[in-house]
Amino acid sequence: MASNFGHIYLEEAAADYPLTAEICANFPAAQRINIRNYRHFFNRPNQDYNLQKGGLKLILAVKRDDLLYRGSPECQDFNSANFYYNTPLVNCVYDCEYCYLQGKYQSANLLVFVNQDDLMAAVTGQIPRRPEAERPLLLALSYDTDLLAIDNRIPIFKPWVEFARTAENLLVEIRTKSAAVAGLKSIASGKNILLSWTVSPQRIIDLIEHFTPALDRRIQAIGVAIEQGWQVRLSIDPVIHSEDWPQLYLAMIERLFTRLPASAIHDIQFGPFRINENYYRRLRRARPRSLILMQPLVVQDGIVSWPPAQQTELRKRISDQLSRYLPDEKIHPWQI
Amino acid sequence: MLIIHTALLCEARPLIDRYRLKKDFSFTKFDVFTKDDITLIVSGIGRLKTTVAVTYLLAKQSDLSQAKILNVGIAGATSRQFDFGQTFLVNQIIDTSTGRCYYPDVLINHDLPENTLATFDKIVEDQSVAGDHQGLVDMEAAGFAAAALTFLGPHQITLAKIVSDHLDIDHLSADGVTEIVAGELPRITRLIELIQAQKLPESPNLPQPEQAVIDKITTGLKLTVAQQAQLRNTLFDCHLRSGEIPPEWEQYLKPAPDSKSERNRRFVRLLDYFRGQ
Ligand code: SF4
Repeated sequence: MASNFGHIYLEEAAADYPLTAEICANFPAAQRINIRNYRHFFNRPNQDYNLQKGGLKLILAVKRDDLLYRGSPECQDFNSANFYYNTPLVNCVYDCEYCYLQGKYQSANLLVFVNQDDLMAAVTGQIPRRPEAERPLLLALSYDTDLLAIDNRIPIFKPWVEFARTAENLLVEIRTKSAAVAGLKSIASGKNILLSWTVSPQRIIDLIEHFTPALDRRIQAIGVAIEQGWQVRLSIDPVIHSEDWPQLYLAMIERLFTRLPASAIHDIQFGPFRINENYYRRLRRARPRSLILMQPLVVQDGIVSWPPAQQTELRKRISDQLSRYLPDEKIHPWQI
Repeated sequence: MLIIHTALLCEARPLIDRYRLKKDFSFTKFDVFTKDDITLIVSGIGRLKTTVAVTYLLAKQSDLSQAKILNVGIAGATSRQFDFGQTFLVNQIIDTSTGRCYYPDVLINHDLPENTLATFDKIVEDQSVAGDHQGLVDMEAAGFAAAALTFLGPHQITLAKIVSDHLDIDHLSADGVTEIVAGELPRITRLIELIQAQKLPESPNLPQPEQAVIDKITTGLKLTVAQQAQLRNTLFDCHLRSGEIPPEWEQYLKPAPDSKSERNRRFVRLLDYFRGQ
């Protein structure tokens, strides 16, 4: 993993929170730097995202505004008006070359908000105000990070699971690529919590999903989660274009379902690489030699993605392969 | 390229000797010493002189993508727990006159202790001047950081401060300062090695053959560095939108422009051409 967290930048206002003490205790050797406002450190101009990935710092701060966001069109939201996301933690210990975070934020450093209770209160407050009363509020909890990957040292996952389990009219999705599922044993699962595992062919993992667990370890972790009663969604997203993408991805799907019980999979979503045009510009600057840039890409309505004909082919080929294992209503392709 | 800044010549002396730097007389406003990849500038005492000197030197460079800058100097310490002659790497600089803070990115794997430093406009002779600040104090670092960060990213700047006093500065002579820096030279030299070994990202290249197009246009129109960056971005966008670089760009290179203003006009038309595709 890229993280070493040799430095903790501690915002004045965050000093007295219990989560601050808990996290600091997990990094006893870290250099502590007291700062007035996290933005002064996090939003500095001209930071080098990729260099920072090699020596991540931890920032502990209080989130004062934007405690809950409406979902954006690039997200896989199943056309739900009830789709929201929040950012209990910003940035990730993994380093996927396609990650939109490098376009979104100036800094790669891990920003942890220690006032998780305020974020939870914002969700509780929004549930009765959700646009579609007949459906639950759908909350994507970890779009801007991988909570499970760092749960042993930055314990945010468990409190959210406990919060979600007791909440009414709430469906929480927690995305991960982690294989660290040992901790799941001590947490009771909940029917309204979806653990959503992103899977990629091993070659793609080797080339562009740096520091993430191998495909087989992820499959093993998914198996453990299923055994322990967690609801598991699979996510083949983003699909990265290469000359042999169909072979790579179709073989991976076969591998998934020879090792996992299809009937236990809640559903599966997939989609081509896509990114907001402005984020793409920054990604291009940050990783000029990335495989990501070698894909055939076009801009449509401000989103950079595969050309439409290839997207159609992707939808057809992946759907066909998935329908060998799952009913259609469990297969969700992403569409613009 | 490594630029070293010191406030005083007596602070610079051990570094000048160690790296066999020679005075560069093409610089007239400040004392500048160079050899190979290292340039050292001596600014004089205080925030303003530091800002001017660092700006003066950085503004003269045409490409700063691989530049790194290091401030070396003495500093006072508010506490006796920081030993006389001990070198610290600075991880936070507080400008006490504006309240602004600067943060170099500490990305090298060094073995120095780290500390926060506050810059004051006058000599900090006792704790009453330092107020409730705990750590190091000096009169230059905020000026150094403000100037350096105007040109460079936070990963390109480093400050190493050697404790010269515990807010009882009046006994310090120039020779004494040189002695303090010389005493820490092995640590400073090690730090310099680490900084020099750190790989910075190269400026982005397009895949071939797009890069070849950039190279030809750059030579044909004698583009400035800023124009090259603009061209690179425009070509990336053009490629993204149409899947290829349109072929008629060569007509914009002929005949070769005979003045800078003609070159600039031609360049604008060329960008319009690429954007129009
Ligand atoms: S795991 Fe997700 S959040 Fe983390 S780097 Fe990869 S894409 Fe980004």
